[in-house]
Amino acid sequence: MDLSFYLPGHSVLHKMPTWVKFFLLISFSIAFYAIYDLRVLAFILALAITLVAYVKVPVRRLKAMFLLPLFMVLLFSLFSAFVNDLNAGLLTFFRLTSLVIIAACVTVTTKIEDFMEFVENLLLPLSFIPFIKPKTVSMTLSLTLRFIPEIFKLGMDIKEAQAARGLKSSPIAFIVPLIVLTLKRADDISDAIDARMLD
Amino acid sequence: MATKDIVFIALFAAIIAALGLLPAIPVVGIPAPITAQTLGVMLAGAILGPKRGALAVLVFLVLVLAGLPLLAGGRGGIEHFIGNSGGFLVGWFFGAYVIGFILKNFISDTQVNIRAHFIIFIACFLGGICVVYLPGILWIARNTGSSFVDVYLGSLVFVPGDLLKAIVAMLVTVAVRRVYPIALK
Repeated sequence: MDLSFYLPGHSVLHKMPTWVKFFLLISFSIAFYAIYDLRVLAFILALAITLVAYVKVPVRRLKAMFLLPLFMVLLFSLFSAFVNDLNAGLLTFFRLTSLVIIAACVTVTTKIEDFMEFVENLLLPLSFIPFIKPKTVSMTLSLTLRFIPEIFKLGMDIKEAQAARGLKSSPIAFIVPLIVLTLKRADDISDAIDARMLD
Repeated sequence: MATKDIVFIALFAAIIAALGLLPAIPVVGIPAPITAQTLGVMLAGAILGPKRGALAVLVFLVLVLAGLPLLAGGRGGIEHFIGNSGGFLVGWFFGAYVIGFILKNFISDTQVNIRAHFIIFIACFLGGICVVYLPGILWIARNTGSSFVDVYLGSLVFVPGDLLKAIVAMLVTVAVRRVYPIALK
């Protein structure tokens, strides 16, 4: 199971530190809402599209990443155009499309490990709060990553077992064993972690 | 936090992610297809309790933010927090907390009678729908420059599906309490 959108490459975005990328993205998302000139916003959108070409996102990826978010943006722009006016709809469309495109470029150029490290560093000043230990946080995140494919497989097994007994799929009969079987393992896992004294 | 709490949080975050990998179910008479993911958010609060439930949602959201395709339909990345669904994603965190908070304070951890059914449903309705929609609607209103009321009326199409989820969440929570009761934290 491929669990990452990261695309290896050598662009400036790939080399930029993760925190700079996130800082810029947040600045953009504030700044774009201060712009009301449609020509400026159209120019920004053109720049954002150039960025996609520059990062060299393959077309197959582009479709998977953009189709749904852009469809939603379009839907909401139309909504805005209807309840307000055409100008408001266009403002929404330009701002959100540019932001979604730039954010997607951040996503494809940031490795998951780099992002985790960024989160850990972000939490460092908060480590005086008892349960926010950066080590604990990264352990929790990797534990989750480790178990997603496993729980998905467990779900498939449960479905298969129910189909074999001729049962129709019912969400309750599916989710209850999924949760119970998963949570029952918590004892073993936490014993294993304690035995290795990760605390 | 004991190691077991951390493991519960991590496993439930993984359950929320795994539920998002299931295909969305179209239901007759309801305009929006139903994904099991928001069900997972309701269950996190109802089964683990306020703190662990909200933290499980937070862990899940951090992984989405990191760019993992874990949102229903294989989506992920920071663009979903900036786009129109952003407010709802933030609402999930508070929703899970409110659900856990209500359950922890109004019923005992093993109670499964009619009253428990009722309280769990009310908690899922208040936390999983009202609390989740509030930042969601505010965010869309800000993004589109529309009034709160317009967006509120527009988002009503999702409420029947979410009500159905609150009922499923109630039944699942009671069933899990019967076989594997967990002290809410």
